Amino acid sequence: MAVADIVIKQESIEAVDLESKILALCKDNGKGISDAIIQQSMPSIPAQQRVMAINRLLSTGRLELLKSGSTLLYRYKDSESVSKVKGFELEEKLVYQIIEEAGNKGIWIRDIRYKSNLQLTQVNKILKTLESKKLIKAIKSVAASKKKVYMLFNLEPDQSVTGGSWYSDQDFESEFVDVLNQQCFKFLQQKAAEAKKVCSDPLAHKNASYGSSHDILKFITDLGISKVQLSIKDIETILDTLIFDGKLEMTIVNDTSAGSSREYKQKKLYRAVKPILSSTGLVRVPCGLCPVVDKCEEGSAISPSTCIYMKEWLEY
Amino acid sequence: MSASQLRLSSHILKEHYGEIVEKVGLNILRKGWTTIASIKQDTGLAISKIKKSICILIQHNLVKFQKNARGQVTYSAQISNILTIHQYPKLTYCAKVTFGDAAELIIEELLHHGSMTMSSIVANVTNRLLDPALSQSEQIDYEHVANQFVELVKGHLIKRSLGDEIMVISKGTEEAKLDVVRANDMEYDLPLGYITSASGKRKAVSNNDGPAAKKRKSSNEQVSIDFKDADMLWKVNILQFYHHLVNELIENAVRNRLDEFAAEIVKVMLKLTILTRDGFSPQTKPVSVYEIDERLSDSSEIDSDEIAQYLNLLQDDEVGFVSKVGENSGGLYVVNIKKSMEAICVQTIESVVRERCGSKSMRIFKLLLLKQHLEQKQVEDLIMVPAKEAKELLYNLLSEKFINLQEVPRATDYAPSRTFYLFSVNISQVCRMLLDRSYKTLSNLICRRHHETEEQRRLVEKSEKINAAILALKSQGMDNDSPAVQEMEEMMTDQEKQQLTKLKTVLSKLERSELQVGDTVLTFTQFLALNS
Repeated sequence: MAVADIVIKQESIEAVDLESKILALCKDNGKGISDAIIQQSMPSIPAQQRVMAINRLLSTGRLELLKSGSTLLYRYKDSESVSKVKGFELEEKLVYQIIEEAGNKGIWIRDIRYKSNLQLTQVNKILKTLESKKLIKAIKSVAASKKKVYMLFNLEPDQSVTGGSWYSDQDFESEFVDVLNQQCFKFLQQKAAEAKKVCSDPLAHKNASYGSSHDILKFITDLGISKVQLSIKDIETILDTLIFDGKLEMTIVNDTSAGSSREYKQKKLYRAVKPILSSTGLVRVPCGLCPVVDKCEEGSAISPSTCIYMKEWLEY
Repeated sequence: MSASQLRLSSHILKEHYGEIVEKVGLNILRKGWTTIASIKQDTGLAISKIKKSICILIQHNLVKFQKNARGQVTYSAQISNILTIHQYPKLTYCAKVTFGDAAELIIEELLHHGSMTMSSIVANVTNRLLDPALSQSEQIDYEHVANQFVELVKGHLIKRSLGDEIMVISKGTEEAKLDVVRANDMEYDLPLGYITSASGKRKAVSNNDGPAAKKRKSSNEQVSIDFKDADMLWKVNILQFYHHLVNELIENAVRNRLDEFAAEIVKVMLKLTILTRDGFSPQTKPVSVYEIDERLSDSSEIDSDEIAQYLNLLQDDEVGFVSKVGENSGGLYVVNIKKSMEAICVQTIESVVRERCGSKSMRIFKLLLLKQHLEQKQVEDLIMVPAKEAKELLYNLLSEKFINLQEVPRATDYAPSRTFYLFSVNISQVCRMLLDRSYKTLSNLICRRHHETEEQRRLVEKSEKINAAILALKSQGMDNDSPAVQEMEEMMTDQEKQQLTKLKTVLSKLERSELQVGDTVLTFTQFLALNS
């Protein structure tokens, strides 16, 4: 992981330099240069990086593409906005570095201001230009929907920012969670049903109906309902909600199967359980569910004799 | 005693004993201890009527009396006994299931009359069973009924009404204690008259081999029996019936959780220990695997190994229905009545929460129950629901009073930013709230039932009149096709007939619901009684 980070950092620094080099080259040749000339003047840069730099310059509007005959020419595009940016160069670099330091956790605009000692408007402007250059990106944090954090363009945001597997675009995917919840329960239910068929012995039946979180994860992954790779921890949180629903029972056993020399690992086993009673009598009558039951009184505006819920229920 | 309990009591008294008794009963309930003079002042009823009402109430064990320091006789009502009247159908049904038809009628008879002598009970029940309207497959005679009566006494489901409270008050304390001890011994003694007559009868039957002739004769005339027990009154032992009902609840819970066999085992364990259960003990007396095996061997093909396995399962279950207390005689086990009832009660509450607030709220409720104290943030993280929705559900639960909020300040100034807000669940508190709501629901249902009948009173009366007329015509020898009967039938229009059937379905629905809510009440009251 650490090695990858360093590589990324070098790349992005180089990208900025490379862009300025290409720009300088283009400025020297007012009529525009071809790809071959750029390649000649900086042979050490791999083709892919060059293409990336050129593409970025094109997309930010500092270069323009011309066609002369069969070859493509790049020409420097002189516009006001671009020339203004040049004045910021130093501050831009400072802000860039601050954002870089924050890594994949990102950094809030106020913190950038404190660290850089710049005016808010100035910081805003720099952030905007950096964003338009596709060097950084703004991500909305799940913790506070209005809080934007900035990080380098090519970084994958941290779980604490995105909220992990359960979030997409700062929204909690409750449907996804519900589907997983149902599938996990279904898996264990089926397992219990199968165990009942195979084992006549009550104790063996109970033991066969247990499934570990690993088994369940494998089942869910094989189903292919999840676009993201789920971890054991993710599945265990889902299974926990099923325990809170009163549908599962969990026991922890020591896992001896994974290498005898290693220390014992704890393994969580889950089992579907049946509820000990169906819905109670109170909720089968309207009063059990009535939102105004506390205000209900014989002779008052809400009373059992004139109750509309009761009327509907009796006519049903 | 809550307002909804009072309201329900008044409905029950009115329905079963009429308006005057209701007025008197309610007045006594409101006053705590009160005298006849004060009742007269409050209700404005005639002394004779008040006296009669109190007699009725005392006869049914709904009111007790004592002499106060100034020598006045004061009365106090037993609200728990009044509310139990609502469970009477359940008690008779329980007797029917465990002992049979005659037992059902005995209990019904006793509940109807409050307290009676054995002779009159047996006579009445035998007469009812011999009623020609009932087609009986088996031969009935009073011996059979008397045997069922003895069975019920042996099962402690009925006991003697000894009036020990009166003795305690009227005599000196030491003497009274002696009396009570004696009373406990005598509680299940049968009348001497019966014991001698039973042995005599048996001899008589063996000597003269014509029992059938005797039975035939008795079916024509009213049976009257005298065991010479005019001073021995019997009453229903409600507490023992509650034990039976609790057992049934636990059996059902085990059946739902595991299977039929497990329920069968628990049933045997509970049955073996029901007589030795004292008051509201949290566990039964220990039962050995051998005993269970012996009881089960003739009814099912389950062997003792499997029984041990099932007991293990029951022990390992989350609820912990049974636990092992010893290794002797194949393993000694007890049934955890309190634990089981708690689990049943919690599930009942959960089902209310689920129906009222949705399954996600139920998840929050259960989470708080398991983890006890949690902050809002922790709840939001653990239940896997979007934070905004979770917040809404949580505070909805709080406003419905299912969960509590506790402030734990870090500083003395109670500043919200420096305070922990912890949510928690208190089961017995929620239980009491829902019990009260159940009482309210019951009175609402009764109220609605009265309202429905009142609205269609004219129609009901008309149909009753017509039916009576048709019956009268039929008794004169006319059959269904005769013009007179048909003319009477046509007096009800089709629309009226429809209305009548609709009323009938509505009433039966309401009555059925009353019984179902009664089940909820039973669960809650028994749980609270075990917990107190």
